Amino acid sequence: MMDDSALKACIEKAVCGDADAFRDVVLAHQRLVAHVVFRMTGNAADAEDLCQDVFVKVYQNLGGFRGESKFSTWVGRIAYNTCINHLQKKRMPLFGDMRNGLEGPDDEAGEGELPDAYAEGRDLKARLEREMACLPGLQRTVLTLYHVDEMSYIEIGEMLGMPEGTVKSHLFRARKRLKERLMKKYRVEECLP
Amino acid sequence: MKHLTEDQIQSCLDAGRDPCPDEIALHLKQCGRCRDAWEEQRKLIDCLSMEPDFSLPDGFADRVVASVSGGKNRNRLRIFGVSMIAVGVLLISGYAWFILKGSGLEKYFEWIKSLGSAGARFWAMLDFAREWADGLFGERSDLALAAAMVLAIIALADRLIFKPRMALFFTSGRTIR
Repeated sequence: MMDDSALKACIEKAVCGDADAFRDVVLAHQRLVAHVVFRMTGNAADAEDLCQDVFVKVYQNLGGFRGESKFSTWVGRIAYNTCINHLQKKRMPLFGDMRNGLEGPDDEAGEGELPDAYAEGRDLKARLEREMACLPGLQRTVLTLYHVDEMSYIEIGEMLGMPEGTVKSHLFRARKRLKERLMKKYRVEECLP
Repeated sequence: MKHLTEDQIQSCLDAGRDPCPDEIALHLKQCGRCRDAWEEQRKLIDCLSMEPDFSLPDGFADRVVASVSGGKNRNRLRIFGVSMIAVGVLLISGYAWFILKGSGLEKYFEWIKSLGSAGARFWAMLDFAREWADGLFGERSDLALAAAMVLAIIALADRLIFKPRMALFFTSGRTIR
């Protein structure tokens, strides 16, 4: 990860039209943007194009970044707003469960998946991903930003435009729901290592 | 002490309190149920730090750079086009204004005719513009000039100031709940 002074220098150069500097900015932030976009949309097929849209917007507005927040927070916010607009255009639920109504016996084998394949893919990561997919996009995003990107409640709040308490509440609710789902489907000892 | 709530356990783990506050630590020693809940939560938190099943392909940054460079060139072309139209409108309006006002300034431009065939062609073009402006604006050519100037300024401001500002507002300043 690029340090603050190197990032600042890259941003200044990119504002002046330096393509290599902007490439460095993209490389430094593409993981964060991918996390936000993938978690918000839950759809890998749309995610790459959306990530590209996010960085085009970052480039267009780079001159307007005034350093009032961390640059990564600002980029993440653009990613979040781009996802919201995308979901609104597609008339998809913004904060609701993406897979409402899938609980129950049919949910056991996963969507369109053969039982054998399901059994083979029962490793921990696959289980977590499967259960994560059932959480609302916002909760998935908060979970990933907190645990994978190691952002604080305050940074996540700034990025998603919500108070620290709301972030905490989303995070706690998401973990509780995830744990309940995992416990319900798998035996306790095989559910978590 | 009552059993620990899920929120208490999560808060404690999030804060990275190790050891956690005394009363909680003591309770965990005595209560198997809360100890199990604590362990389950801790394991879940450990698992959640695994990378999601999605990453951008190699060469993504190059594609982004190529797309913004293309966009920048298109913008430059647009700005150039709008500027040229604005300059053209201003020239024609200005010419019409000088001529139709009968200010006698035309004589100062007659040297253009002496520039050979290129000068003659340019003069013919000016004549055409004069006829066109005369037919279009008539006696109101001064108003036409003012209107053209205002339009040109708005068009340029729209390209250079308003649109970038509005884009900034819509992409980074909005709060959606």
